Amino acid sequence: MARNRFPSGAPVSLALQAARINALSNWTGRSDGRVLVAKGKVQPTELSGPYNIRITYRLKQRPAVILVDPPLQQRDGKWPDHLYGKEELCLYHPKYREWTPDRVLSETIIPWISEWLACYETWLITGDWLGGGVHPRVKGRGGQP
Amino acid sequence: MVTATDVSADLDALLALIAEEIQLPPSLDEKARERYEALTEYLESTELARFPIAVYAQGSYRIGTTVKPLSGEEFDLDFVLELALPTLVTPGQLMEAVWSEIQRNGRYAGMIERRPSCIRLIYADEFHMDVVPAVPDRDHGGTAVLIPRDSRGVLVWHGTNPRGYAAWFESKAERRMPTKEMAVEPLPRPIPAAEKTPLQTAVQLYKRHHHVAVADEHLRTASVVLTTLTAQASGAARTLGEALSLLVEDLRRFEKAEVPPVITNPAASHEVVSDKWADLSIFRVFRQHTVKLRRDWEEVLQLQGRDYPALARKLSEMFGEPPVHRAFKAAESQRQAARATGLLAMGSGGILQIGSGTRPNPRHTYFGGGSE
Repeated sequence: MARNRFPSGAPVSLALQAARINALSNWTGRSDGRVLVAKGKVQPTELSGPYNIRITYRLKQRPAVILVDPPLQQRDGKWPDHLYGKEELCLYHPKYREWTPDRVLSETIIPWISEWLACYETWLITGDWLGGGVHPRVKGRGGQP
Repeated sequence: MVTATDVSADLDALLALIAEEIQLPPSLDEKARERYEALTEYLESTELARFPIAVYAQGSYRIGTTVKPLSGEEFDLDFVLELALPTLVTPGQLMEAVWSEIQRNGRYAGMIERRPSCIRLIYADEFHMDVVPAVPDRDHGGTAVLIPRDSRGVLVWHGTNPRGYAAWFESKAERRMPTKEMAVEPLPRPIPAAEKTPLQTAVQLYKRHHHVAVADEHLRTASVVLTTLTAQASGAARTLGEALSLLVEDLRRFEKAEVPPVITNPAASHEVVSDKWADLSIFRVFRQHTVKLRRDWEEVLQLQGRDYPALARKLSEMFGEPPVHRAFKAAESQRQAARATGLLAMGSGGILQIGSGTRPNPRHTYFGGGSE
């Protein structure tokens, strides 16, 4: 596990991550050198309403993505499957190295948020998650990155 | 005021997916085709074929606007059996001649029903085929025909023109299907929703909305009226959204009408298709439905780009939940297919686009343990 968590390429600095995020419309990113906080407004499809999103990222750690407004909703008393804990969106499989700290958030995590939201909205409507995905065989808490 | 520019391309696509979910499915279409061909072959082998004979589809099946009935009802597919009889017959004699030939064939035993003005072949739980006998209407010429119609227990001739109507509708939709004169015609192939004209799809959605809103079949306005009004209002539309907006605007003229207007068959001006409106309660229900359709459509336009789940609820109320949910799943499946082939990209504002992005989203796998 440990080897998979650390990339071979050099990590992208928080300042560069913030700069790339600020280049997107509807997003702002600020870094104090230790933690990057990015806020954005995402409309996953032309028919969807906008979601206010917050990403919190500490270098080399898992970027934490949450819905601020409207908040995550349940369907028939259940939360969507692909979450870390109760509110963090699960956007990638850590083992498959789909995201590593040498990758730019604005080109990976942020487009994946749109995809996750489109799946989530369809799930809210129909009860079916059509995005596929993997459920970890971990007891108790959700996945460990 | 509703304008066409209010309708987003995604809404247009979603409405087309709903229409695909409510039309005759390809499996039933195939069965209908086989049974139509078998019936035609049989009729051509009978005494009836001493006269020039033509069997052809009419109505929604012919013009590509079928709508799945609500639960408990079957698809109704309409056919005309036209016999070019040399001498005058009465409508009763014509019905009797066709009935006795169909009845003679053991294959149809137990599944035929003699209706007042047609012969119904019932294929349990799937659909029924209504065969209407007809003779050429020599007074009106062309493709005009006379069919038997029940008038207080007596069969009388009723002048109509199913092929002329189809040709008129197709000219409005700017799509023509090949037709042959006085011969057994091949059925039109089912048209995938994506290839339908905005007019065809708008007719399907209008009819479905009317069926859902007016639960009592007897209070519904005839499909041919809804189809005619849509074609008159929306024939020139380039998109489905524009077709629906034009229809809704045009229907405003009925909202305050006290007296039912007379709607005639555009291909047979001697045929009044709105005759059911003589019963004022049916016209009043139609008028109320017109207002409901306009309000529903305005609400749909307001919800797009604001609240996807609320839009789904509204559309479910309008067209029924099962087809609407299947359509929303189909829309998501299209995005997933694009994602799998590297054709899904994030555009401005986070909006996902298929095929048009300059840079496809990288691959990823949803992970996580779900609710705790």
